[in-house]
Amino acid sequence: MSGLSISPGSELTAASQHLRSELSSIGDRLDSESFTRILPPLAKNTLLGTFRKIGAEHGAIWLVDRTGDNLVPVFGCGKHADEFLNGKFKLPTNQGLISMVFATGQPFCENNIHQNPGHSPLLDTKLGVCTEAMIAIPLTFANSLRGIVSCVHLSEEHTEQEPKIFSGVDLGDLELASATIARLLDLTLIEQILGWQDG
Amino acid sequence: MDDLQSPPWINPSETRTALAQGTGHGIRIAVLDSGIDGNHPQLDGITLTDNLCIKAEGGIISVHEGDGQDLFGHGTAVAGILHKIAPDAEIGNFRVLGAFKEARASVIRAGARLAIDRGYHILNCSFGCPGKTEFLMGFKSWIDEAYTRGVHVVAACNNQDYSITEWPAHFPSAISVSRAYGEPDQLFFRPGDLVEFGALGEEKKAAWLEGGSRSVIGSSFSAPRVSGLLARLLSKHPGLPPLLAKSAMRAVADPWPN
Repeated sequence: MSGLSISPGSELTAASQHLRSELSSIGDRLDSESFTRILPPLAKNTLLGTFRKIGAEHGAIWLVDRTGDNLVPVFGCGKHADEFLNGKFKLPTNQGLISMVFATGQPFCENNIHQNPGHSPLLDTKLGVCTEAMIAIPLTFANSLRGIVSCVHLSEEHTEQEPKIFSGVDLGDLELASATIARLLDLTLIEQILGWQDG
Repeated sequence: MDDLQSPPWINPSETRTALAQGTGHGIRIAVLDSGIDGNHPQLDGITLTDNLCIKAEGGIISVHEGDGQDLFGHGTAVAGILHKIAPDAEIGNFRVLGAFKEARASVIRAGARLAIDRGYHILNCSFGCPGKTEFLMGFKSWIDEAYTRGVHVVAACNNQDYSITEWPAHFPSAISVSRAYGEPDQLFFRPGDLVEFGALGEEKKAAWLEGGSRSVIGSSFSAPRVSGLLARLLSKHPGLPPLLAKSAMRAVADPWPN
């Protein structure tokens, strides 16, 4: 067999289960404030770059709260971001598309949302906007599905203009971003558990 | 099924004929999902063979008859696609989604076992659980039971990367499906991976809540196309066990699209 073949050292193998448990435990204790603190700048830049690439004006990371009853936005961009971040909004996990993605664990892209009476209107009503299209991707880190990465096209009011849409390619781009963010979060948490970070 | 016979092997020609001419008649498909709105116009007035909600409350799992209304629309969309592909197949509503985290695997297991016991031929699983060791046995128990009792499991894979381990998609006895681009009833095969099959994952007017429709994309909507095709096959060749059905579908599927 050519190339480098890495075999885990016996001491590390013995410790790996403990590390894994510790990672899960910390993941279970993350709340909005602590998540915001550990979210690496590289993860934020990755997400913002992807939003720009696919033309999404607004996007967010949602984290399930400790009760499991709500998804809470913990990072966002777009001109309305300040209106729903920092505890100003939470989405019940039995309502709406984002919660559906959290339930199924499957990524989802949807267009023409505003035409549909089943769309959860909670956030649209709060912001005074109309969601035209949405992508929602599961965010699995620290050994569990813990949140959602989403982006939307919004309009300020219903118009007769052709609605903006997302494509399957856009979905794939955001899936890649979500997977990258998850790995960066895991790496950040592991570094903290091992004491590899100063802070 | 329990009274499983040993049906003869079917050749590719017979498989193609069944996939083209089968309607799903006599085949029962359990939709393990967020519920189904059985009154949706796209379902053409079908009668759901079961309408159940499985819940976990306080560590106790309970089954609620007649309470399977859709929480999100996802299950109705899945059922609508199934009905288009296999219009004569019977559909059972097993609402298992909506209970999160630790409860989810046990609720799904309870729903799947119930469907197996009630004689369903296909379990459609348009969801995925992170493929971690701690969840493994919770899925393996009913996946293996389905296999040994001749019940087919069709599962959506992770869309981020089909090679990411997820349950139930990464059990070899399941027919695992990823998103592809093709015709609505076209089946694709990718050799050498656990997620071997692909089907169209886009639906312009998927059935949704309150009789409405939505444009949707995701492997969740590829899986029911394959379940529907499998129902067509089984309606022409009843009793075909999972291993033979999977092999037959492999033999006639189109190469993976570039």
